[in-house]
Amino acid sequence: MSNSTTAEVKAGNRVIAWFTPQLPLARVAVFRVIVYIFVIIDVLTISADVIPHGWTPELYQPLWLARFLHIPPVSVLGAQILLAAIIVFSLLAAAGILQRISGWAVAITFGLWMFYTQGYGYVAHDHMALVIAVVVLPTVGIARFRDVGATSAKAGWALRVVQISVVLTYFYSVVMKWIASGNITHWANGAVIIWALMRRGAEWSKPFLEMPGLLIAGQWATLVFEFLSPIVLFFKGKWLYGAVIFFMLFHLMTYIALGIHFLPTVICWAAFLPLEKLVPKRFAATR
Amino acid sequence: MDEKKRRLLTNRKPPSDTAGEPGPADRAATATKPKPMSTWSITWRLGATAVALIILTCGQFLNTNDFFPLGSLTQYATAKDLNGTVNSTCIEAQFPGEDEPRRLGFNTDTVGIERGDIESQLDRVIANPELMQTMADSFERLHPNEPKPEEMILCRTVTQLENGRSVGEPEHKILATWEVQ
Repeated sequence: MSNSTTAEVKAGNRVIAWFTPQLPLARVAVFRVIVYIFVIIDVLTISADVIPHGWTPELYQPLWLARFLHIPPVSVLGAQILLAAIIVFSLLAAAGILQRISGWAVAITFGLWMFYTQGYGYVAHDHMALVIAVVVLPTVGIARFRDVGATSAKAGWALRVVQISVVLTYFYSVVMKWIASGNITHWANGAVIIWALMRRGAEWSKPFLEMPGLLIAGQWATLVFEFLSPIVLFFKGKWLYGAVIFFMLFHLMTYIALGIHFLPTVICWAAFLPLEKLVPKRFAATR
Repeated sequence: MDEKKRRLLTNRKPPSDTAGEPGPADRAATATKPKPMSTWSITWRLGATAVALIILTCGQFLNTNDFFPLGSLTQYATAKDLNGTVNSTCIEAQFPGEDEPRRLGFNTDTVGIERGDIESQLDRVIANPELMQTMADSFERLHPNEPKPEEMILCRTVTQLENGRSVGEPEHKILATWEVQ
């Protein structure tokens, strides 16, 4: 074997190891609780428009996968049954009962719910990471709180995929701004925040409309940190915590100013954190 | 990265008997021996990751939301001119016995659908104003104590910007009307 091939194999292994790191199964167990509880909150609040959509089948604009699978517009009763199923399966999955079955059941029912919330014209992009989390979590298999010491590459892959989805939500939005505006400086020097504030701004934020220069500076800042977001994948320790806090504050600000909470992505930031530390010692110790 | 690799390598060796020792940093290193993933297990995971990344990337360049959840991340992506206009779609209803149409909340609680949903298929609704019947029906269903609207009016407010500041009163345009049946 020549030197170069050895080097290539090593590089390949390093890529594989990066995509499938050994992470504690307990981290998945905690992340799962966060995700599945949030799914329940999501279907009852943020994406609760599925039941009203049952009344407006004429406005159904099915997405590619929904057309491919011939998913018909939702009826009111269908939406109510689906809602009940999601809540039951999510509770089971959060509690770690029948882990594989309940996980896949949530993936299917919540996936269907997503087609019905997004399939009526407007497609929100704050749900990308959450939908992917719900799809990859069942692939981990059995994960318990007491598995603090037990690591798994399957757990590592699932969490890594969620992390990638989170940062790409920001990074690709910059790519899209570039594509959609033709010239990224037009976007950054333009009136996007002004437009957003005028259309849906909170009353207290209206005085900022008198300061377009400040809002343009905000647009440049947004571009820069969204573009740099993938480096968070390589952060550790204080830097990682700092980055997570920074993004939380960004979303808090857009929520207060514009009512855009982005919560489905926000909760997926948990995939970056050593969640197994939340498991009380007495659970972690029993093996 | 190196830390993880080290753990990965050390974990392949027989498990050390120091498990249960305090210190979160050592937890993973002193863990029970992880089962290595089979080649197939690794292959499909990396393959699925690659396919998803390709679809997501195509979603951006084709500028389509159709591949949800791997569609384009278009929200707020369009550049807005500092000397352009800010458009906002509105919905109004003419009630019997009232002089002027009344502005309704453009959301699921009032007309059964969100403003964003209609804006995303605005051309279709303008070309097929009968689609507004469903909004009138939803209004009736959600407001049983209110009179039934006679006419639905899809409208738009247009605010002119000058150097990023609004000038004058917003202009009101009618996009489509529908006699409620």
